[in-house]
Amino acid sequence: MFLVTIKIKDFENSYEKIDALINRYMNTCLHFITNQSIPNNNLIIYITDNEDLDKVLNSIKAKSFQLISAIIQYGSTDIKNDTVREICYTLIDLIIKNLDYFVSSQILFNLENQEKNLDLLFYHIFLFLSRCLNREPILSNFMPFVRK
Amino acid sequence: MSNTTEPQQFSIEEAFRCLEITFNKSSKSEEINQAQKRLMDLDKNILDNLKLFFEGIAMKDKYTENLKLSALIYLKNSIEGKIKRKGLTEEQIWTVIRYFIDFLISSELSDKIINNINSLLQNLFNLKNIVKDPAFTTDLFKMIGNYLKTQIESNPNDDSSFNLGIFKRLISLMQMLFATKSINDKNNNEIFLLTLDVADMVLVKNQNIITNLIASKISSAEVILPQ
Repeated sequence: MFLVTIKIKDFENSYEKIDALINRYMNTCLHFITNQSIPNNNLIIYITDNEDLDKVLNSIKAKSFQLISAIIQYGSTDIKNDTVREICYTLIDLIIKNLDYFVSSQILFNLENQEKNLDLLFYHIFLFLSRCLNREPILSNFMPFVRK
Repeated sequence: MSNTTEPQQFSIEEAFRCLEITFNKSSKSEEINQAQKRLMDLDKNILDNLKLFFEGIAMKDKYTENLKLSALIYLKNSIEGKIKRKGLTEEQIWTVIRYFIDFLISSELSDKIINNINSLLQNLFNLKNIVKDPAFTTDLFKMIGNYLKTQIESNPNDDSSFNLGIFKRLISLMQMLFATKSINDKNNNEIFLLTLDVADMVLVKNQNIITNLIASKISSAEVILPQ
């Protein structure tokens, strides 16, 4: 779907198609990111003793972030769509809480030598932040948190 | 497929043995010359022998991954060479594409082989004559959707036996097509809708499989989480 988002930029009616993608997949992306988390739904990452399962689920989460980032970047300096905007607020809030937890618990040090696709997931989390934090209305509303 | 040369009979074993000798550094030069001569004979009727190579590549455990990749690269060079020399008609190129797509979709293949097939197909789909007919790519997306639907509906309640490799092969094929000129102003609306249908099928099935997988594996996060 990420490639579809890139490709349809070249064609007419591209905004209609982007709206169709948003209506159809944005909430699914949010579901993949937030509802499939171990040990609880407040964490973005999936970490169990089953490395293969962790890799798959963290990869799905990373790709969900990738699709959201592609849609945010679509053609404008503002995020105009209400659904996308709400999802951005939810995710930024969740990411801030997660980063707080990761720093205080030092959990990532424990996972340093484990292959769980966390590098891919964090790459797309920060890509998502870089795409939405410099767009209105996120830019104004979340400015106090940017330093964090 | 018309050819002026009298078709010669080849077996899978002979074709792969010739490739093995050609690419093996310890082969004697006389053996290599002999093998290359046979490969040149084979090359004259490459379209008739495509399925022979496909059968060999799809065989499990009989040939090494490297030999299978050599076979694929040999096919790729042979077909692209013929196209450059205008040795294949437009109709023959379509035949090649159809053979490769049938093979790609219906066989259990490694990631490297899938990537190499897609690389060849990408070159073919970027040929000027090929992209002239937008209906072919649309039909191809319809075929992908119907194939996936049949696979999913053949045993809808048994996720454990569903072959996830199908997703990888179909999605990589669609990714490749999206990177070519075969999707253009004339067919992009229809292909967009067909892609959404395929994506929905993949997402729903994938979600069921993951839910069952998670339920069947007792996850003990405490093992690695700080207490």
